[in-house]
Amino acid sequence: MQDYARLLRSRKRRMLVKYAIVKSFIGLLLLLYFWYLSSLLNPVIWELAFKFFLLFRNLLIIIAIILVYSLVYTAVVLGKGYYPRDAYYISVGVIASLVGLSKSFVPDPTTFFKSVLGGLDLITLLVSFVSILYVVSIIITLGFIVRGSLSQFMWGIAISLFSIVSLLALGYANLVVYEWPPTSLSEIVNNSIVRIAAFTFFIIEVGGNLAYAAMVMDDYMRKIERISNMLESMLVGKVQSQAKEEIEPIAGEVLKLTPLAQVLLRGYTGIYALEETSEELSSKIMGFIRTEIHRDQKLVRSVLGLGSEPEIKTIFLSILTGLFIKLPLSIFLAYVALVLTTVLGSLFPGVVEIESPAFALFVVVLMLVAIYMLGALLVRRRLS
Amino acid sequence: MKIKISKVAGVYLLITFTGFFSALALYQLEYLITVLRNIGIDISTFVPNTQEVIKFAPWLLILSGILAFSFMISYLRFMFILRVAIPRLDIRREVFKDKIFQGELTAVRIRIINPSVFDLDRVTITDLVPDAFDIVFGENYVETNLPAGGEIEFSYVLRAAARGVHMIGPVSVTVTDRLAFFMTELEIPTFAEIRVFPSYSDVRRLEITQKSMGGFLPGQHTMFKLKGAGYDFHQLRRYYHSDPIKLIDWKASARLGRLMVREYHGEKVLKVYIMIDTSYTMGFGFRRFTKLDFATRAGALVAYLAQKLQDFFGLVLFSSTVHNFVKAKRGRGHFLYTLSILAEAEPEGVANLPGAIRYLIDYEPRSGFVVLISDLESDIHNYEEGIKIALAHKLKPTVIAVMSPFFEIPEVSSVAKQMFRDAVLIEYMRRFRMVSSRLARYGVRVIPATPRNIISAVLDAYVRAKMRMIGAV
Repeated sequence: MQDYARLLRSRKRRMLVKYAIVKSFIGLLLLLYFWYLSSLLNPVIWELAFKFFLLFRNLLIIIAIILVYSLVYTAVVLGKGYYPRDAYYISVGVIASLVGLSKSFVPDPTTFFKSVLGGLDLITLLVSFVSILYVVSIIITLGFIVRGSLSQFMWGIAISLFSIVSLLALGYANLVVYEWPPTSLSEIVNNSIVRIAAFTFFIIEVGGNLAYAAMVMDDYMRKIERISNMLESMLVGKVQSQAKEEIEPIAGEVLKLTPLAQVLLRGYTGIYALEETSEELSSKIMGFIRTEIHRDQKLVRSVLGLGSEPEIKTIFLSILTGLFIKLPLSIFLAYVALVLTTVLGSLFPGVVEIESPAFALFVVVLMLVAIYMLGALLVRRRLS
Repeated sequence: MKIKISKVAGVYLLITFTGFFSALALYQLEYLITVLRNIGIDISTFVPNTQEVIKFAPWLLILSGILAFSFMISYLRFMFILRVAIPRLDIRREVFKDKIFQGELTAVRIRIINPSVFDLDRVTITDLVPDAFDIVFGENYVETNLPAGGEIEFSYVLRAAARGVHMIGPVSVTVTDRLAFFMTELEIPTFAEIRVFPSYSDVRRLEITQKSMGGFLPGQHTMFKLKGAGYDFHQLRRYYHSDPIKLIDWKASARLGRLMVREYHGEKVLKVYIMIDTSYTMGFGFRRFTKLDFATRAGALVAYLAQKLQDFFGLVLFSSTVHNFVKAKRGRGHFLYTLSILAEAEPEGVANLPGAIRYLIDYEPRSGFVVLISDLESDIHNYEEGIKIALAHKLKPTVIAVMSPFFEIPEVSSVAKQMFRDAVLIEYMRRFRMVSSRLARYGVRVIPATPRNIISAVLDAYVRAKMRMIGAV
């Protein structure tokens, strides 16, 4: 059994190495992704994001000052002999000493509130808020490396795209976007939004598959860990039995027994048939396994979970399938939807509903329904 | 089988439709800017790159369309897996021992084969185990992937904690696609029966004492001998005028100079019926040690002892009807068959002792000794009538009264709960005294049994009957 314990440990180590490699790859992909997105933004947004962070901190300080001020005002000014300005200076002095600010920080109230805002006007404030959103999206997406939850990644992408578009509108991003329809291939390839989309799809397919592989490996490692702990506890005789209760043995209460019989029948009238100590149960299990191994060699491997190790090799095939089949097919279908919209627009000129951009959405939905029905039909044919 | 869409897919679809509606919003924005410009308002002073943003609109539409089609392709793939691959999953369960005693171990192995051409990305397979078993080693579930044509296997070791006939299964399968967009759950109705007999530990302890001491009762080797009848030589003694001539041992008489006869002895052979009340009230008690479990343990022990002492023993499990009847026989095979029947005892219905006694009399018209194990919670007239019928047909019952409060209310440290327990006990004892006094009028012994002494009480009743030849054949 010790050999099996060693085997479990080595299997876990091997899986851990693969897990670390996969997580590192996911981290690298995300790093490249955000490096590319950040390269599209004006570097001043980082400073503005920091200013927004400082503003938030200052707002917290103001709230604290207001709270203290209200108490001090009540105590000091209403007690007569002091002015509201004195209450203000006392409040600020208290908070400044709490947060470790220097005494020179205590300014005139008007100047104070102006400096708290950090010299930000409304537009700059908006830009700083959007910049902070971008930073938050990076933090959320980094959680994807740790937890591997694709929904976290999706939210991060959604927030980062929103913040990039907003920064572009506010003039703080350098995206290259060409008019529709494109006149050459370079207008598609050099289009920032196409590049962002391509990179995002790549992350979803590759990163998503790798995150799935990491999740499967993690589940398996945790199972090995649990079974390994169970095996270790069994080897030291610590498997717990349920429904164990200590009772006073009173064998022979009704029967008249010889003294030796009383000794031998100690616990005879025990309440529970499963009165076993943990050591007894452990040795029982070990004995059972040793007996059954002679009959069936594979039992122990099966119990230890060695027969359910995940197959990681197929994941790389599915990544390639996703990138080279699913994605091109989706692009093709989107192109077909576009062509269909254009053709229908030319067939029914002057019809406002068809000329409206929302008609494209309608065509996409129709195509989705048609594809679903086709798929359902194929499934039924295959089943029959 | 339904496909459930996860939160991840929800976020994906949210992004897709946000893209669509953002694109439409941008088109509307373009129209709004044109209208405002026509009336002399230029918003580019506030938001300088509005025109750049509007260029996004058609690209956003296309990209959202690609996302939508990609989602639909993933959905169709999963639908294929659901309809084609999952129904073809081959799940096989192997139970190492399907007949075990309470407290013993057995192992279960599950093999899952995926014969289809689709990979099952993330599959969680759980073999549902009833509460009557403890999983002492291994796990009854696995979370892994199952590639096309692949096979996985897992096993676990169970300990039978409760007597009875239990079913392991069904197998629950949950399949998720690799992007965690879709999920489906299904139950595959494959079951395996495991029959758990009453605990053998009592019997095993008895076997140890018997082997080491030649019996566990003092004087057992002579206690059950009946002088006069039988074929085993007992002793030589002097001739008395009433002795049959054929018993005279002429050689011994010649040797000793006076007439001597050979005396033989035989075993006292009883016919004992163990009647166990399986009404629903007997199903109460501790989680895995109900009153009925104790009763079956006691019954199993009496059957074992009777088998060892060459007595005839039978079994009646009754509540509103007789659920199982085992005619009295002897031998090891009969003992094992009795154990198997005891494993099937389930609490249901209301006790109907007269009906059970009449049933017994119909199949066993001759006299016998009856050990009745019941909690006496049914109508007292019921029991009285049953006892009267038994006595009228020369059946000699002894009642083992299972004292419910001791089995159902555990000993507690809290004072309030202790007081409640005592109050229930007082009320129960009052009823018990009334019942036992009414049955005592017919000369029937009612022995109170608690978890600590039920086994010995039943054994004691049997040994007394054996010594006094109650129900002798």
